[in-house]
Amino acid sequence: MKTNNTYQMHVCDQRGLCLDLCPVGALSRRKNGVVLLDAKVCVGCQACVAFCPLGAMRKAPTRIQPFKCISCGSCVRACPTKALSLEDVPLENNRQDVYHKQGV
Amino acid sequence: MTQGQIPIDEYQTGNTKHTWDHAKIKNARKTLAAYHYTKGTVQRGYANRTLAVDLSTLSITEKPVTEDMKRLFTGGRGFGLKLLWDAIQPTTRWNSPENELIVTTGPLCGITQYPGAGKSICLSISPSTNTICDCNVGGFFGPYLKFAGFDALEIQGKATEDVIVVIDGEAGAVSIETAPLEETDSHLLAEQLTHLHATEATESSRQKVSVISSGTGAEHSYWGCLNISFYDIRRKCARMKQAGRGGLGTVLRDKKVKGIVVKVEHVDGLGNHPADPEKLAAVGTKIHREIRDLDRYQCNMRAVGTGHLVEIMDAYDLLPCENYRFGTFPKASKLYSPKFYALFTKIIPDGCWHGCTLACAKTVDGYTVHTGPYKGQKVTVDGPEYETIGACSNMSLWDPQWVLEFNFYCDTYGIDTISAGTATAYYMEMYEYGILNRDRCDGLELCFGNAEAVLELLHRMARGDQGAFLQIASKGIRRVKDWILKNGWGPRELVEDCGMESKGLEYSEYVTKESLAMQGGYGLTLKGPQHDEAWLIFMDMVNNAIPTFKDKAEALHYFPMWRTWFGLNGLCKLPWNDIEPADNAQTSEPPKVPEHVQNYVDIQNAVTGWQVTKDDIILQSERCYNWQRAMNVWMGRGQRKDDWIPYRSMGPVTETEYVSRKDRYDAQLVDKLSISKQELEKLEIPKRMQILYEYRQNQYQKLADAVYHRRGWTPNGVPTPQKMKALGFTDTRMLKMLQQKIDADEKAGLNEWGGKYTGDEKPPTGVKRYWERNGH
Ligand code: SF4
Ligand code: SF4
Repeated sequence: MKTNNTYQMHVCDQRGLCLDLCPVGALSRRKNGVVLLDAKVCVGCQACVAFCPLGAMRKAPTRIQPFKCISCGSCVRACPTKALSLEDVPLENNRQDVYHKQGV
Repeated sequence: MTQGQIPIDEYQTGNTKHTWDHAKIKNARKTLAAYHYTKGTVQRGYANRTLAVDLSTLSITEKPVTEDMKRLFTGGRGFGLKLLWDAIQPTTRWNSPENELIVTTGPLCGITQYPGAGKSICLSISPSTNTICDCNVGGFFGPYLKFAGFDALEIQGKATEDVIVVIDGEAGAVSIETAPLEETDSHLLAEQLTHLHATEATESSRQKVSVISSGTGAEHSYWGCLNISFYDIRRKCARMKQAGRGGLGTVLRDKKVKGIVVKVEHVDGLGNHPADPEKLAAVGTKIHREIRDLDRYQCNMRAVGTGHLVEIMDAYDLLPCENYRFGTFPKASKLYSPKFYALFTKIIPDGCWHGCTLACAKTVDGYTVHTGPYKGQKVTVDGPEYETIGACSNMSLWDPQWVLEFNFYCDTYGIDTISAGTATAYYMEMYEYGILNRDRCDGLELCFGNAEAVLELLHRMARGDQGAFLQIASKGIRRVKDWILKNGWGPRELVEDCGMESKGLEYSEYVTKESLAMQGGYGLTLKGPQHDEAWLIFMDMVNNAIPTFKDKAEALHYFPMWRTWFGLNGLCKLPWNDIEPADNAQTSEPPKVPEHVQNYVDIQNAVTGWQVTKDDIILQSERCYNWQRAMNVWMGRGQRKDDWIPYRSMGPVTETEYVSRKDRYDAQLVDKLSISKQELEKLEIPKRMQILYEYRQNQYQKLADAVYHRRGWTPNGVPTPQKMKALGFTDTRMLKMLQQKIDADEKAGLNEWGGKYTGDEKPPTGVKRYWERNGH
């Protein structure tokens, strides 16, 4: 996606807001911090797809379970112009943006 | 872990842990009947067969679902009505062996992509009303019943000792087993049966089990509810939703069923094998996004559930306080949603079925029970929802801790919080007037606000206390009215007018005095005064959007039909209008939420492969609605006399009430009844009340006239054979029965409009037997 004169990827930064949305526990965080979707457990409700603030959880037409980036680095290796890299970036706590923002 | 999620495995509720000797419990069971069936797949929303379990004959059978049945009855509640029609007699009562307890699903039940698609619709003949009662309830039972292979379950007959019914969708087996050692109260039984029947001792295995249970309170009252479990893998407990109204739990226990267990092999997103899964996912994702972006500014359901209504109702003078005498109360802010928000466990997906992101099913975890047999236990309280809080404000209980205590015990004892609260509020008012007193109440001091007495009433009820008051009080307001009158303890008008029941069922928790349309929304109903048919207070009273009888009648046609539709499909009503698209107010008909109606058309088509329109889906409901009314008529309970409502729901019964809204009532006498201000000054309050009483009673009858006419019924409220034929019904037994009732009404002079019309006012039509005219 183009913003100003640079490009941005709609890709999961492993923040894991979706973990709390999954009714069946199909989403979990691995020890290395990566959020994984277990397609055998997933019931395809699309809650994680709709609630992801980055639009990084997506649904392909071929199956009901969504898919997401697992920071495996394949794209980095495949990119012919070496435009991509895999980096560790600290995140701000943005939980409030998604949950129960109302100040009750 | 940057975001501080609740890790599923680690979360602890702090609840008291129970351990049972599973082997001992299982060994004590005897299998009375066992049945093996061929597992099938659900096709486009239908399992295409229903299951019947007869506890008297110990037979277990399957019935096919025909295409005709789908076309005429759609599914869910429609199927339930059809099955009941084939099984009962007009003389069948709640405790007759042939009465059935039916649990149905519906073609959209069990989809996960659209929020609110896991409802079970339960039906039976109610002990309170002696006619059909239907409840739409969450929890996993409905979806699992379908995935196990059945669109509906009929429980017939009566067992001679306590039993459980097990539907094992993994093994393809159904059994009736004795259950001598099982618990009865739901918070224990649901957990016990979940653990006993889960294939493995894992959370995900337990999540594949759902239980229907009731409790000891249901055994000794007419208020028994059904608890439908949904196992929560984070809280690690079997949570419950209630099919509360009309005493269905009482029927369950009368049949000596402790629990019904259903287990599935596997749950995935396409268990319904929908015709167009892509469409389903697209429409679902759209509304999930709406909920994400707008819920916090609209109803805030994700944070506080339906409890957000308390402050709104209080602000609009609609919160029932002290038995509906008042609609607002100085202490009400103690029960506003922030108070409960502080107690609820947060950041857990609280849908009562997978994929419900509206997630209104909140809980208080680790709540310490402080009265009764479970005193000292720490438990999860499911709720409180708005109705339970309203039941408490009605009894003048203003401490959230007592609301939780009341909520917990009602649920575990299997008692409907609404009926128990509304009835107790009435007993309290009678107590205040001295019509009831300590002596007459078996020593209970039932003053408004006495929470200890309320809980004591529940505990005694659950124990089966034989006191004269307990025996009557547990059967509800209608029976208590008769009891008071028989004993000559109070004047008839006061006793009748204050008790908020209609058709024998207690009212749910809204004050309807200032909204005529809503009075109709409670009175001109099928099962009794429950707000699930229509909620028109804002449209009518606040926005004055339906001023004429014709407008009101149109609303009392469209909304009951529309809302019936959720029950035909196994859906929850809340994601229809408890979340609205951002531009809803700019549409032509905001109260209908047109975009969401279109969503529902789309998802029904996406699942079933049909090509219905928004008019077709109303027709689906109209069939079911008329069929149910016709069955009520058949049972002697579906005519104008049965649509009677107490005056407390129409206007001020006492002087205190009149004075509390004096300006409003005085203005109405001036504006609507052309009494001049000088004349009004000369009238004493009781005289003003008398004039208002007659005016409002007549308004209600005129409303009934308009509504019956709009629905295509006779002036006595009977669906006509002509109407039924137009809807596609050809069942001659039904058509003949209706004709006979209409002829009998004609002889008795009942085919006349009920309102008194003066000046240039006119009844809906001057044509006699208008329904016999062509083209009607
Ligand atoms: S789509 Fe699957 S992974 Fe996402 S929330 Fe629903 S069940 Fe969980
Ligand atoms: S809105 Fe509430 S009641 Fe309806 S399905 Fe969702 S969680 Fe259940």
